[in-house]
Amino acid sequence: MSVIEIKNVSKSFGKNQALCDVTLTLQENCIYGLLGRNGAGKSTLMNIINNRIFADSGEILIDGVSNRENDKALGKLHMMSEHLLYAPALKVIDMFKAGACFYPEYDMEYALRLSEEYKLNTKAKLQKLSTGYRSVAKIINALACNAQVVFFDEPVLGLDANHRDMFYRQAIEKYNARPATFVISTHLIEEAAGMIERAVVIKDGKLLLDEDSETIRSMGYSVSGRASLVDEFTKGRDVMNEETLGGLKTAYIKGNRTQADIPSELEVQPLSLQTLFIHLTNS
Amino acid sequence: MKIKKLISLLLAAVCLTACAQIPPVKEPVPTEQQKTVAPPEGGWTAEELMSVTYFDGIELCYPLTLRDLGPVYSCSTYTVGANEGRPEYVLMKENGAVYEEATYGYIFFESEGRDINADSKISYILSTFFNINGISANTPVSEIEKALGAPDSIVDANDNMSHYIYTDSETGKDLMKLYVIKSEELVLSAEILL
Amino acid sequence: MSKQGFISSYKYQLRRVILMPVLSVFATVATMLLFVGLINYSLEGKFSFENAGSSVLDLMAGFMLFVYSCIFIQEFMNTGAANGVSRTTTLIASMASFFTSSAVCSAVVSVLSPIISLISGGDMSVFFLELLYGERRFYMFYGENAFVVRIRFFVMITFLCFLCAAVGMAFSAIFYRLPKKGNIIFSVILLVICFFGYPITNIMLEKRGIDLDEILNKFFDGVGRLFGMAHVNGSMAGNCVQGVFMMFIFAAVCGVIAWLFVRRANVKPAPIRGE
Repeated sequence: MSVIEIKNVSKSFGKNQALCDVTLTLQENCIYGLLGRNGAGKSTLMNIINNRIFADSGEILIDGVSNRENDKALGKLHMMSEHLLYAPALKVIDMFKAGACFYPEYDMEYALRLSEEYKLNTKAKLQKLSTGYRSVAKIINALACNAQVVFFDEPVLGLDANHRDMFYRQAIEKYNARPATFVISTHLIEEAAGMIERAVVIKDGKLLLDEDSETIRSMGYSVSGRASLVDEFTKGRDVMNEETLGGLKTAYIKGNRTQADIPSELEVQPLSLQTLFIHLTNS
Repeated sequence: MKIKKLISLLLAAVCLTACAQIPPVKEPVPTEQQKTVAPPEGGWTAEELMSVTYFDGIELCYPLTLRDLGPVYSCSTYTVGANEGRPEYVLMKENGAVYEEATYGYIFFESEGRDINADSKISYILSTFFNINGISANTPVSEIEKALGAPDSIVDANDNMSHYIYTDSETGKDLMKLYVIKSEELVLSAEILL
Repeated sequence: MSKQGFISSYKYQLRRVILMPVLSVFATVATMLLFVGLINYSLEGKFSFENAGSSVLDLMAGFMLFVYSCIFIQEFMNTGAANGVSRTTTLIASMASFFTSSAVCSAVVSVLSPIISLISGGDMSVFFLELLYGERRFYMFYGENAFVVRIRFFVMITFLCFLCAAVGMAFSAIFYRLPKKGNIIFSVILLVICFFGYPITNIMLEKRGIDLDEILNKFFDGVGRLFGMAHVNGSMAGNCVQGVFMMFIFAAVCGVIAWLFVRRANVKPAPIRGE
């Protein structure tokens, strides 16, 4: 099992500071949600961890060993990225066979079974697949490789709702059958929220949040009801966001709800990850 | 284990690249250091003549093979006609540039066709690059008798060419033929029959 | 580098690269034979392979390895990066896989050459290496066993192809490392050197009274001496072991050059047509 320590990692592309002094530890056997707005630095961080690009400063340790040009460390990782790193003319089945070459515990049967479920033509060339099916092929490859840490960078890019649902289900099944660390970077936070055990939020290249789901849920709550009642309740409280629909209002409030004296006319819900994310990254 | 076997095979193959039976290049002997002797009274034998004969500076011997000349010289794969019924080959020298060969004479061998190799006895050699007991191309005719003794016969090949023929004192067969240009009274080339 | 990483990379790369150069050699030879047949048919009325030559087949195989190493290195780097293998391991595995491919290509060339000579009814065709190290018939003429001579040339052609592949790797590594603008500038520089380098340098040196041809001759003589070639030895036969050794050394140098360029290169995904 693997622990990844990211220590004071910074990276810039020209004048653009993509990552600024990020320090983070990815524990073993956990599903992480790596969240951030466009250009926050999520893909940059994952690429650095996977030795695809190099940090300007800082280091990445995998089980205490630097990841830089280190096969033993890198062999524990697999990253499903937005970009296709295989030869475009390669067939899907050949991509699976390549994965089987590199990862000793690659499950070819599982890969073929998933291909059937997704109705993926394994004899098709990668460049001939649609964007969605290319993502499907990469997802299957990532799930079948049985690496100790698997990174998913925008896994559901181009996937329809059915395929997205299948992905979340299969990822959880895989995780339950064979615990590993999954790091999922996605913009569809609500969909993925159910499977994320720990959220890492990056904003403008800096680490903003690194908390487990329970803690996140206890960081706030939402109250819904008649607008006047909601306004009454929210006076003097730290309101993150409000939504109004006719005479009804929903307010998202920061703070521990067990301590709040909430009127019975108002409906109380735990804070969603997406709401917290929007609040954190907007302010 | 498979890799070790493959590496061993590869090393063995590389070693085979080294197993060349090509003799080292012979350094030519400078003219001033080339051996000369007084011509024997009864005439030359093949061995005596070859001991004072240099081809392009290379000391010759009897019997003579291409291996004795060294790997600078080779013969053509084709024949350039027949001389007295024997196929004649071009004697070539590597000219210092890639794949550029110069003709240095004509030879034929005791064996024929596919049997010919570097160890085949040369039975005839015609060239302008001889130095036979001090007689080489452009040597005046007047020097011939002093160096080689009187020829056994002088035959006019044509209006401008004479052959000074020397026979083997043991076998009585023709041993050497000097080609002389009558008008200039100079030696042109020599033919040695072994 | 890890053993697992090296073996995985080597297996993957070999699967990708072993057949292409060989098939290219076959295709070229088959095309040549077909054309000769058609020309003979049009000139003499019969479809025959007479006068079909297969000279410098080894150089052609080397050229194929050069081309394929240029094409495949980017793919190998990306695939290695996609599957948790370091660039160093990928490069070392590439050297090994291209060496294996060179050996296979060399075996094909060694077999094809006498076959073509047989069906064309001509003399044994000449390899490029024979022009530099002495002809096969010359070695056999000196009493060498035909098998030994064939093994010698098999090894030499293998290393020639390997050197060509390594040179391709070095070029490809430079292109992999440089950004788009850098690639364009580098390509332009290469083209200028290839087409205008000699005349421009000649004119510049002539003004200073320096003969470029003399310098080049000395340079090529030096190269010949370094590689143990025949013509600088003043012999029909070169030093084959020295030649093989130097080809290996130069291939290793090319490998090091390639490594120096890729070790800090960001992964460059290949573009997908239409995107």
